[in-house]
Amino acid sequence: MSGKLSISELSVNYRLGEAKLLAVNALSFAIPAGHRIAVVGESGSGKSTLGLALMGLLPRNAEVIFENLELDDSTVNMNNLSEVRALRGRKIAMVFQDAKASLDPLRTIGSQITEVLKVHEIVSSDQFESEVHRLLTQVEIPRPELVARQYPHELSGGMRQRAMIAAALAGRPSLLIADEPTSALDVTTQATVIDLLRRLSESGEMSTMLITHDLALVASFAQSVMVLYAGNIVETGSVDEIYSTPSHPYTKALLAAIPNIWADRKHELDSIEGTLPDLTEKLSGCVFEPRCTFGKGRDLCKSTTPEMKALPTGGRVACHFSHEVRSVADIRGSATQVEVKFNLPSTDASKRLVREFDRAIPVVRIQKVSKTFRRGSLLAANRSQVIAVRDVDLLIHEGESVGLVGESGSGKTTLARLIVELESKDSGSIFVHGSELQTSEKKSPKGDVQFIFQDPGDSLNPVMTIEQIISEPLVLRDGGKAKDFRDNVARLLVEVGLRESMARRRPSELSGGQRQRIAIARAISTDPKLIIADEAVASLDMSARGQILNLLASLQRAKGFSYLYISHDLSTVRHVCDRVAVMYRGRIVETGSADEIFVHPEHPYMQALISAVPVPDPKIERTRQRIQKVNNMEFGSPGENSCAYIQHCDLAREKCSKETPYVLSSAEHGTACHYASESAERFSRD
Amino acid sequence: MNGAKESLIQRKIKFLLGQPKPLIYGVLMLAPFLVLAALPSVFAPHSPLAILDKPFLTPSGRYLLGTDEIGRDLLSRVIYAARADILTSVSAAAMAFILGTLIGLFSGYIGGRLDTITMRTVDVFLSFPTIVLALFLIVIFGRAQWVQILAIALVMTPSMARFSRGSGLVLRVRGYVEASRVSGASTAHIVRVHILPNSMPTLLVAASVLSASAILISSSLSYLGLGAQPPDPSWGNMLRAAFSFVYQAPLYGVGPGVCVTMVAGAYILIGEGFRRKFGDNQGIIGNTKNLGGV
Repeated sequence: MSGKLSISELSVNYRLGEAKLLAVNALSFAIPAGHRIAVVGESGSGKSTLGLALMGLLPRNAEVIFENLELDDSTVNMNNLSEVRALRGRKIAMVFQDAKASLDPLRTIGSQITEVLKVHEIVSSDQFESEVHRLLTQVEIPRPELVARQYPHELSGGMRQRAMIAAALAGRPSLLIADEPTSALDVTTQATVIDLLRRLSESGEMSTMLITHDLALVASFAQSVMVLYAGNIVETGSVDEIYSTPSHPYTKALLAAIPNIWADRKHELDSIEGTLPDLTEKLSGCVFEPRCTFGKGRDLCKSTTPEMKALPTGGRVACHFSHEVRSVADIRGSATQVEVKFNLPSTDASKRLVREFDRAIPVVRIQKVSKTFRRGSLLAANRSQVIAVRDVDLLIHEGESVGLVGESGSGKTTLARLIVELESKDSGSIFVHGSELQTSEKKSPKGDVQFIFQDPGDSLNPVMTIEQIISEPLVLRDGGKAKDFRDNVARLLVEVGLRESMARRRPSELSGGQRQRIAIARAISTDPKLIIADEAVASLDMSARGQILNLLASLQRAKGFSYLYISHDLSTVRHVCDRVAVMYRGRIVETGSADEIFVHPEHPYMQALISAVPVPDPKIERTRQRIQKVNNMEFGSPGENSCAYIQHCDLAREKCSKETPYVLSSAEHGTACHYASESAERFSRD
Repeated sequence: MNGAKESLIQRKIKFLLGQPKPLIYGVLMLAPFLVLAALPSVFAPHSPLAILDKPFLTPSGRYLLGTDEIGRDLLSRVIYAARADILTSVSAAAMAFILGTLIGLFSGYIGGRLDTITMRTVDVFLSFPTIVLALFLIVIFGRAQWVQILAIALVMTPSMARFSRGSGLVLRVRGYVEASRVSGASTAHIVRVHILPNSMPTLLVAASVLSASAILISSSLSYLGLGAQPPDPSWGNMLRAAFSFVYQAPLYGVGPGVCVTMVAGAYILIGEGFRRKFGDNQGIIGNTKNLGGV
């Protein structure tokens, strides 16, 4: 058991009717024993296909062309089903993105881990129980005896993912493949799971392959990085090398497209124009050429596929002009990041992307709003209720971008849905543009508030044309038919960066980024006063994400509407918002200007959130101190009159259990914490 | 010019052949019956009511299916019966489809108390055996064809409502429905523009099954003597006669029996064809499309 792995010339084709899609193109790589490698790329880059190919888990229409896989000095014939089965779950194990879907809901955690032990005859049957406990302890699950008897739905997302990892470790694998293991988790949980994966492989008995689209996540985890593009390795190297001196234009562009939580909003995000090439066609030349800022149009790049060549620093790159790429000064190299972290961001307003907004005119005023969801019918005995939003005050001014952050279940989406009346509030009042919701007197005009949903695939009606989709709000407000608004639709399409000819297409013909642009065009069609963007970029690829964020910013500059930007991704919030409100369990626990709140967070919860955000720089990641969400049982579970965060706060005292702290609504930077000043001081010390 | 025209026809043929097999077979199976129902006088060799020969003649060149108990041509009677049977079943199915879909989609989309009341009412209707309920209505309102159609439609509406309600329930939480609500859309607009078109694939499958059961119910009713009245022929009342004279003419019932079975079977095949045609959305093609960014 060591995890030494070597693969040569691995190719995967998907048969799609007549066409063949080359998902992975002749990959060769090797990693030493006990190594942590990250495989990075956009969706469609072939990274998941690579993981599944190693497991022998590809669908039937996939054609895998490689004979052998060398693991721990023994060669496995991948065409021999019994050899692959012996490998799967035993020497190579996999952790998937969604632990909820990967665990059997009808069986206890313990029995699912035991199954692996049984199938691969790891230990004798009388040792099953103790082995399960050992594994659960290894993945740092508290009270393993209890968890082993529990069902997946009884565990939180993070605990479920740990249980999945325990099941993967049960076969004592040499290679653990983790495919986006944290993208379904909250940011604080994500950090702890990545830490766990790193510690597990530090023993040196197992190699770990982390497959992810999130380059920031890689910095704290990997020793080396492999960047895939369109099924090809474009660059590999040690993590320091990749981050400090990327040699491939694609790597460089990916790094530049990460919104940085420490940076001020001085410039637009860099983004990669265009989309992946059509992999069903035979490609000549460099696969990245059409999107490359260095090689686009160059004859050599168009005609010749670049070979992998060794770099002086030890990595390998497939680029004709890598020396040029390396010599160009970094747009945002690690040096500037360090600088920004320790010298406070510049407050020089002229440098900012943001326009000034008028604080005098509120677009939305929310006062003491609460919403409780009740489950079960009126007659059911076990009627449960969930308080989603409680006593929330929030102001959004004209032209302002307000960020609403918090983990899933914190009530941020419910609050947004209350504003657009997709839910009805229980108490309190919401004024939109001066008129109060749910009062019969005067209705605010249709289309004053628009919503951009997380998943553009779901928010566009598949049977309608783009023209019908974009014109729908106009039809609803002004009457008439879709074709009466043809000119408006054409103008809107251009405004969101699409061609006018797209009007006749249907959503299924568009990419995710294009669909989200359509959703944005629909949202701005009525010239709204406020646009609510609920995780609007979360389902998009890195390159599309940057483009959409830039689009949102430029539209706001041109039209002057306000945003309520809801996200759990703090770095994009930092990039978009003027002001931030942090929600925890239905309450706003901290609010203030983005510059204030990201640099001097006062609430222990916000501090934990910021600490958990991965920084795309391995040097910073190695020395970083984290403020963590702890499990503090001293004061029991939060009651009616206690602080909601009491269970997870490292500063909780007696007073926190007796008195609920509130944000002072008048304060510029308000924090719902009795010990805010102490907490703030501690954060700046770290 | 000529070439372009031909390629258009070729494209159309290719499109038709590209449809799921059950759909093609189903349509091919149903088509002759529709033609017979539309133009019985063209295809029937004799009058359905004329007494031509001795009773209970076995099939021969002169009377392809033989003659019935009073010497009428069975083939002609079967052909004329198609008109009444298909008209009754298709109109009943169409009425049940429209009524049930409207009730179901609105009930599912609006939800809440309205949905509870509608669905409990549906439960009450569904708890009666269909035939008993239809019998009851016909006994009260008489035996006219329109009463038959209404009765069959009415007994099938609740199950159609129950079925389409599911669609309304699923689609109400889709993003595009919520986006429309945010823009101030009315319930009628949402059901018409978003919910109905997106439910169509499943509704078409349901409509086919509905048509199949309509023809079975209508045949059962006339078998029981509540459909077309003698001397007018219907497959159901012919089957009943065939049953009475099974010793004298064992082949009497073959014609009407095969017709009922084939029409019902054709509807089921068409339903299965629709299911395959629209079910592919979530299949491998959709997935791999996203995968390759093609």
